[in-house]
Amino acid sequence: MKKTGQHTPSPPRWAEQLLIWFHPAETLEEVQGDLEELFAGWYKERGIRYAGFKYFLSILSVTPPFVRKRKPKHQYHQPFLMHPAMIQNYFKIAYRSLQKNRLYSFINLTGLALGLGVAITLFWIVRFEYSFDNYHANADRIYRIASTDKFGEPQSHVPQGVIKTLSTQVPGIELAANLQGSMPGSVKVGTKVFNQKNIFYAPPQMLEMLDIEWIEGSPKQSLGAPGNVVLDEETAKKLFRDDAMGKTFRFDDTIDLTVSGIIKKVPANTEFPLQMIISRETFKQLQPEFKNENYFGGGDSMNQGFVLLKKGSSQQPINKILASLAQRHKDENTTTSYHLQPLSDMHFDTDKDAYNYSMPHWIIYTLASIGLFLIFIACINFINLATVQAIQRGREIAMRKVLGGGKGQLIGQFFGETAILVFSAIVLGSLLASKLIEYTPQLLGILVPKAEIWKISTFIFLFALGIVVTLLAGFYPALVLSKFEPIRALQNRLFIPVSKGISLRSTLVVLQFVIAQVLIICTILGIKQIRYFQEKDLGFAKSAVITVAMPDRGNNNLRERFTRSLSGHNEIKAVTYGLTTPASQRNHWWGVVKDARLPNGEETFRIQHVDTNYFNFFHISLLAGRGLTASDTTKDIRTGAENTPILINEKAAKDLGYIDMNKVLGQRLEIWGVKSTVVGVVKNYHSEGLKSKLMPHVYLYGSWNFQLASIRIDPTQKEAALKHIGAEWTSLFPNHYYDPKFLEDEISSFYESERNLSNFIKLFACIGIIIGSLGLFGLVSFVVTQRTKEIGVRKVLGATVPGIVTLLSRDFLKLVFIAFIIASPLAYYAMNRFLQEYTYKIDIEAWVFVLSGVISIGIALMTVSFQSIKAALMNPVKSLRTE
Amino acid sequence: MRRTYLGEFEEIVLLMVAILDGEAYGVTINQEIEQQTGRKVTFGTVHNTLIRLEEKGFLSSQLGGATTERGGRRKRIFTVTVLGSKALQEIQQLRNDLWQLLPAHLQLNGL
Repeated sequence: MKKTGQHTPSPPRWAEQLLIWFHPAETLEEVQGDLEELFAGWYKERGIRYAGFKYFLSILSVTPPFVRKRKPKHQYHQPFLMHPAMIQNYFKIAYRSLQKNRLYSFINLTGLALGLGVAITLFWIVRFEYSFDNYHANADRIYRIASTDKFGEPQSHVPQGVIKTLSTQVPGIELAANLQGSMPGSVKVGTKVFNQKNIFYAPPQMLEMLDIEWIEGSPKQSLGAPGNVVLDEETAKKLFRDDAMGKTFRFDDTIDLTVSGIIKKVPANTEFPLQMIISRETFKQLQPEFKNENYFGGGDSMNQGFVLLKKGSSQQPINKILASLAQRHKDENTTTSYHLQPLSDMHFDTDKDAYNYSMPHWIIYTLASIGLFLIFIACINFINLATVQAIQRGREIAMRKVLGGGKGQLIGQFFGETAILVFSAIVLGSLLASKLIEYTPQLLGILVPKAEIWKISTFIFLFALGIVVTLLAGFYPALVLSKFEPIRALQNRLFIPVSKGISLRSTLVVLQFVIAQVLIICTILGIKQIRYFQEKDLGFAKSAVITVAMPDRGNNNLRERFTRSLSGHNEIKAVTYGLTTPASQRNHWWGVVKDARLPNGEETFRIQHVDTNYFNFFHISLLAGRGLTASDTTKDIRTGAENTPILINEKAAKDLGYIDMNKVLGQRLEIWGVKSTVVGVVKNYHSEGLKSKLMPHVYLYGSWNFQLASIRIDPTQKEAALKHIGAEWTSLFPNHYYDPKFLEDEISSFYESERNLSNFIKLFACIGIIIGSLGLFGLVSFVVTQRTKEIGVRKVLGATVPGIVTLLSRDFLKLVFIAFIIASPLAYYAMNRFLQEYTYKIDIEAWVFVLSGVISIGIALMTVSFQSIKAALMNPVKSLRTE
Repeated sequence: MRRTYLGEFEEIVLLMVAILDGEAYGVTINQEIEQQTGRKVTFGTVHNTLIRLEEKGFLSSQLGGATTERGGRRKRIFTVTVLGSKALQEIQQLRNDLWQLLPAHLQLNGL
């Protein structure tokens, strides 16, 4: 090979790049040189094209899989990685390094334990919510009948006619049944009166459908006849102490029931919390209108329908039949469509009236994603601290490499150390979670603690969680660690990689604080919205009002006596009666008003039976006309009088097309087939909380339906007032359970799901900011140790303490500030979407963002300055002497 | 002595390294084979064979000093080890012995 001075072109760059990428590193240099020389030869021989072609071929011949890899000349002796001595060594080193950096270990452990604790709690919650009613053997064949009315509103009532048709005429149906849920009732055993919740009226078919463990009796035997009642074990014990079978009790002072069956207590994860099941035949006696099994009208939302399909039959044909049923009976009912809803969807359907409670999907998703975020924040801490610590461990790593430790071994060792920490954190986190889960009934209103928590799936979850978190937290540090070059590490020339631009660590810190700040902003806005709900004037006076039920729908004589006896006490200001208070969760009565003046020719009005002093009592003002007077009380709607005097509210008047309220007076209106005359217009108030729209109302006198007494008391003498009311009430109704309630408490229960969620987010926000601050604290203390000498020199040269504090804090505060800038629009977007659901809502004001910024920057400042002030105050003589 | 198997191409490469005597590296071996035998060989084949021979202990190699040629990249110079030359000699010996065993009439006709 002769070398001439003449210029030869160099081989194509791209081909050479291929070589660099794919050829084994050990022989790259010589092969590159050889090929370049050969290329020159070929070029001289046959020209550029030939040379290029040959060159490319040659490169292919030395890339995998064709090329043979040159083995390093001297293979280091590698000790067996899992040798007992090595394992001992790993643990020793892990223990030592955890102990040496006690602060960092503590921060990591605390952060991880907090994050994982919350995650474990959330796992339990989610598992619980998704387990609803999945324990029934036929769960996949059981369906609820859902329906929609012609106003597009979902409704829960299923008329008996539907069930009758389904069970007798439709193929593919094994069982169909109505289940009637009931308000709490009074149970009198001997002389003792109990308040009984979760009362249901059910035919035997309903209990055949569900998996229920019968201790005594069976569906057919125990629920076939009138007067039959089935109790669960717990209730039986509560009422009778010993064997309850065959015993009798008085129910609601109206009927005697005989215990004909006892079941095991139903699990917590069911939509059917059956505690007392009264036979459907009894129900028919109590409410004779239900004797007609073929009716298609009516509308008690607690009277729902369930079916069990035959094996192998599908829901489509049945849905079709249901649709045609709705069509055929559209004149008898407002329902326009029925369809089957799988049992597994039932718990997440918030449109229905629940026997237990409903959990909307979005709350679960929100909780789960926040849980993930918290784990993420904790992992970020770990990554940050582990990366900075890794540099301190440079020498150890170099030593290992020199003595033959491979990359894989180092990565394995580091993952092992991470795993030790993560699994200790999981143990702590589980302890935390098992405490936390006990508070979920108060915080979230759900009953997880009643279900079994430590199931196999929990352990599988914990193990999987440990593996995932170990990989997530350990991956980056392990990579950094194993990449150290031993020579540089031994020469002590390792520095924290100061990257240009944005470093990974800064990004992670920003991310942490973004998450924490979004949570803070959401919490503040959530609390504000709930306070707004509670403080906003609903349009009636709700404070210092106690409500008690009036059994027998307020028998006129008893009611008079109750009023008279209460008026003898100074602590009691006034008493009024009605179907309900202006706003309550339950017992809404509706009537469809057909009138040409209404936009669609008809509309559903809410019906409220009121006493003559009702509007005065609740400070509801009249816009026109008069209230009801004593002379109106004789013209009860039930007497069928032609001219029943009624009042309507402003919304109803507007819907009827009136702008001038005085013009409404004297107008005729037909409701429930009774002709009536409007004598007054009432100002609008919120009857269903602020989440719902205003409803049109019609008010009439109806003493037969005064189910509730409202009593205004002197708020300063609550105790005395309650005592008097209790004494008077129980003397009048000795067979009923006395259960007074404060109206304000009932109204605030409208916003329970919001309050629950905000409680939880509050907790998350706190944990998020704690974990974030812990991480920041760790980083600052690391930087301070790294810069001890620099600070000493600066002090010697005349730097002031505030100057040094600023120097050390500035960078971190900048990150928190950047996080604030990113978090604000995110939180704004999220909360804006959340609030859009509500008609009455707070404005998202700027100060909320400022406040959250001040909070998080304040916390960060406190965290950072603690360490930096300590560093700045240090005597330079000492700090310069370090090392 | 345990005989290590030496393939035909390996034998040629080993011989070439001996022939080139201190000047043997990828390029020269490649060119020499093409010139002397007229066989077209790809670079990869030579490269792999060299590595294999070195693993078997017939060759040793070391990187030459950097030069200004070929972009300053160093050459890997191959030399035959004692074991290598013994192997070559043995092969030659074996061939000679075998030739001697040929029947006389074939020997005279030059096969």
